[in-house]
Order: sequence, then C-alpha cells, then structure tokens
Amino acid sequence: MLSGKLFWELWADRLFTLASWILGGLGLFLPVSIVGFLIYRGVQAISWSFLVDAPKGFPLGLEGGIRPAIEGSLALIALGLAIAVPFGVGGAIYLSEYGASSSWERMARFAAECLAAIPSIIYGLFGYSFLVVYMSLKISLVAGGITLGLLMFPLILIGAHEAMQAVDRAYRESALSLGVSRLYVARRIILTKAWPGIVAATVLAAGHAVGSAAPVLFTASVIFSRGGLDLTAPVMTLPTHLYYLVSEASSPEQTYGTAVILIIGLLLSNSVATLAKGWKQ
Amino acid sequence: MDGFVKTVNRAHVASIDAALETAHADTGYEDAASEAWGDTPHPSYPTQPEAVFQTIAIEAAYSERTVLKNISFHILDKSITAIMGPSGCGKSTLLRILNRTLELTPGARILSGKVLFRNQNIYSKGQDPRAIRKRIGLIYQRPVPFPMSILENVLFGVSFHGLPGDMPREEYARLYLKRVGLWEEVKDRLRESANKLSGGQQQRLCLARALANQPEVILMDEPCSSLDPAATRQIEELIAQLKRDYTIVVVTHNIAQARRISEFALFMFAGTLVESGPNEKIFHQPETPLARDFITGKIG
Repeated sequence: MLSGKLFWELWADRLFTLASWILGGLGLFLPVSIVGFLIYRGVQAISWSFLVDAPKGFPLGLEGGIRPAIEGSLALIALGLAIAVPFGVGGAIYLSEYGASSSWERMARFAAECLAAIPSIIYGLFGYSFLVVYMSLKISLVAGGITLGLLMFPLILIGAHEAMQAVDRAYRESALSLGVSRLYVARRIILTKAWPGIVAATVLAAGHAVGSAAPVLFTASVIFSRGGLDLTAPVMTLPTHLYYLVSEASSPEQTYGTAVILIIGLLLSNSVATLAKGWKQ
Repeated sequence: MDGFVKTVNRAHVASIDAALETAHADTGYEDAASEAWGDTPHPSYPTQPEAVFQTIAIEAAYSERTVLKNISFHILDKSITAIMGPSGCGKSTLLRILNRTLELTPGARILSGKVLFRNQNIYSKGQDPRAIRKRIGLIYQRPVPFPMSILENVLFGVSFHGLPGDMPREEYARLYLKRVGLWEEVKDRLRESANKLSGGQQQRLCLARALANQPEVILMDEPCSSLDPAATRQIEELIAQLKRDYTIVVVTHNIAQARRISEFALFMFAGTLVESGPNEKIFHQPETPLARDFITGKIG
C-alpha cells in the first residue's frame, strides 16, 4: 500500500502532467488554428494571377492581384538587410571579439536591447521626420529601406552577439596563442562557428520587419502602384496593402488571400531560421 | 589549497608552512613587489645572459586573488624543463605568462616582476604580444582542432604571418605533419575536417600547427592529460625529438612523466616556486621537505 504522502504526490504529479499537456496543446492549437482559419477564408482568392497581377477594380483591390505589394516588400527588406547585416554583424564582432571592457560590452548590449524593444511605430515616426522630411528623401523605397534597416539592426546585432558568445573560448585562446590578430580569428573561426545562429537571427529579424506596417506606413508605402521599383519612388507593401483592404472592407477574399501570402512567407522564413540553427559545422 | 591542507596530517602542515616561509624569506618577496616595470635588472637577481627565459619576481592575480608570488627562475636554451606541482598551484598560469597569453583570460593580471626572453622584457612597452606568441608557441591540455580541414589547421598561423619563400602551401604543411609523425595517417584526407581525427592525432595536429609558425620555444600545458597511454607515449617521444631544435617547457602534475622527459624541473606549491634545478637534484636530493613529500607521492 502507498503511504498517504506518496499517494498525494503521485496525484499531484498526474495533475501537473495533465495541465502541461493542456497548456502545451493550446500553444500548438492557437497558431495552427489562426493559419488554418486564414487559409480557409483566403484560399479561393489565391491563384497565379493573384500573385502576378496588379490590384484592379473600385474600391481598389476588389479584383486583380498583389504583385506590386510583394515586390515592394521584398525590395524594402533587401535594402534594409543590406544596411542592417553589415552593421549588426560588424557590431557583434566588435562587442564579442574586441569589446575593450566587459562593462562597455554590457552597456552597448543594453542599448541594443532597448533599441530592439522600441515599438515599430516609433521607427516609422523617426523615419518620417528624419529621413522623409529632414533629409528630403520623400516617401520612397530608400526611406522605407533605411527605416527597416534601423528596425532590424539591433535584432541582428543581439542575435549575432549571442551566436558568437556561444563559440567555445578555447578556440579564441588557441588561435590567439599562434600570434594572429583578433580579426583573423573572427573571420576564420568565430564566423564559421557562429554563422548558423547569425543566419537564424537575420531571417527572424527580416520576418519581423516584413510583417510590420507601422515603419513603412509613413516612409515608403502608397495605396497603389503599377509595380516597377525606383529607389526614390514609393512602393506598395504587403502589410499596408492588407491594412487598406481591411479598412475598405469591400473584398474579404482578397483580404484573406493577402494575409495568407504574408503568413506563408513568414512561415517559410521561420523554417529557414530553425533549419539554420540546427546546422552543424 | 584549503581542501588539500585538511587532508594531510599536522606534521605535514607544519612542514608545508615551514617551506612556504623559507620560500618567501629566500627571495625577498616584499622588495620585489614594490618594484616597477623596467629594463634595469633587479639587484638581487643577476641577469643570466645564457638563459632563454629569465623571470624576475613575478606576481600575478585573477581579479583580487593573488595566484603567483615572487617567481624567479631561468631556463636554458634547447632544454626540456618540467613545471610540476599539485592542481591549482599556479603552474598553468606561470606557463601562460611566458608567452603573453595570460592576458587573454579576463581578469588575469601581472602585478609586478619581469619576464626576460633572450634578455628582453616581453612585458615592456612597445613589445607586440602577437610577435611574442609567434616566437613562443603554446600547446593546450585539450587539443583544439579549428573548424576547417586538416591542411588549413596546419597552415592557420603561418597563413597569417606569411609563408616563407615561395614554398607551395601543401608542401609546407607536409613538412610539419611529417615532423609530428601524422603525415602517413592523414595524407589521403588533408581536406577533411580535423574533427574526425582521434584525440592523440588532434594533439599532434595542434603541435604541427604550432611548429609551422616556426617558434623558438614550445610551451606545453599538460599535453597528455586528455590522452590514452599509447598517444601519451607518442607525444613524449616527439618531445624528446623536438629538443634538438626547440626549447621546451612542459607543465605536468605527473611526476613519472616529468622524470621521463625533462632535464630540469621546477616544483611549485600554492603559488610559490619551492625548488628548481636539474632533475638529478630535484628527484634525488630535494632540499625542501615539501618537494620531498611531492616526489615521494605523499602529497599531490
């Protein structure tokens, strides 16, 4: 026979196991149901022409496709990454491999974390007042690209710094004991070991940026463009197009279809990030 | 050290204390600690022009904890010197001071003293630590193959410093792989990852990588402690061969190994240098009771 205490401990254990299963199941159920719902409502709208045509009809977007929005979003992200990756990875190399004192490293890291926590609409406002108005870049691909670059920079810096810190100290000591420079060690060993983590952080940052409407709302986006990319001209983007479609409330299929494309893009990029993290040298 | 002292009996504690007292008294600890860096020789330590290394009253600390006290010794050219002592006595710290790699450890500092390498203080201003590390190689306890091919591992340091002459890269790597007896084992897979090698092979690869840098001195920090007996014997035989061309300093807590491979020995205890000299003296007529107890296996 079980003693009283052991009996209750056994039941407490079972209860805890059940609660974990329910909460864990909920965690899985929520994203699956959201994606499932979007696909259920939006799948009719998706066709080849939806991906390759410009929006048509009145109110705009009632018919036609979303090609200019896909193009615009991809161009903005490409431009943003071209800015954020060199600065983010470079900054991480500095902090991880050169950072003069650990207090300075902690301070810079704290600043980057604060920057990463700033709401995206604040980046939008900064981009509008500084880049669009003060620098006279107007509402354009270049202004939006720089704004998204600023948004992604701290995320990539933090992710790359973590990845580099995770590289065994013994590599640095052994390599530096051969009399080589820190940059040489960073280039030939640390980046080789840390790149899966850096790629994962970059893809997650890009996914976050491509889905944010706020930073591009006042810096890069227009309701309609025929497509074609010009650094000095505004573009359509997926999240802002979705925003207009929702506020017009004229075509639920087109709205859900756009959301599905955005979500599929994000799922793909998150999968790439997960794959990259598991990559082994 | 606290834990260790508790395990020995009172008589031993007394002998250890006595030995530490003598060590301090003999070397004038207080004087040396107040001395600033400089190239002028200390009056109580005449320079040894024939020595490769001469350390003068070194003190070192991790953060606030002093780990080395008043260490002075010299090492002769093309000799094998063993640094012995129980775990935590500061022998690895001392080894890292000899090629300016201690400063790579956060918080580690040298408080005072001098390290003369071929009669030049390697810690004086204007000395480039990278140039010193190239001339004085260091082999670690655990072999660390870099995440690249076997070939690139051997050439890692020398690719940075510049290959001498117009020798083809593979030819150069072959020279040093042969030197450590690894060539026959890896010649068909030079472009494969170095991680696939066994522990003993990895340690010999690390040795080839250090030798390819063309150093004058090789420091080894317990190079065999992570290896099996067969691999240990290979490394010990290599050390004996390398003595012809290099000055070698080996840290070990294995008395039998020190006796087998070295000609000179330093015995350290709790951050102080207790005794040093040729093997015949250290192993057969140790002066201090502490060294005698260590050699005979009573402590360690």
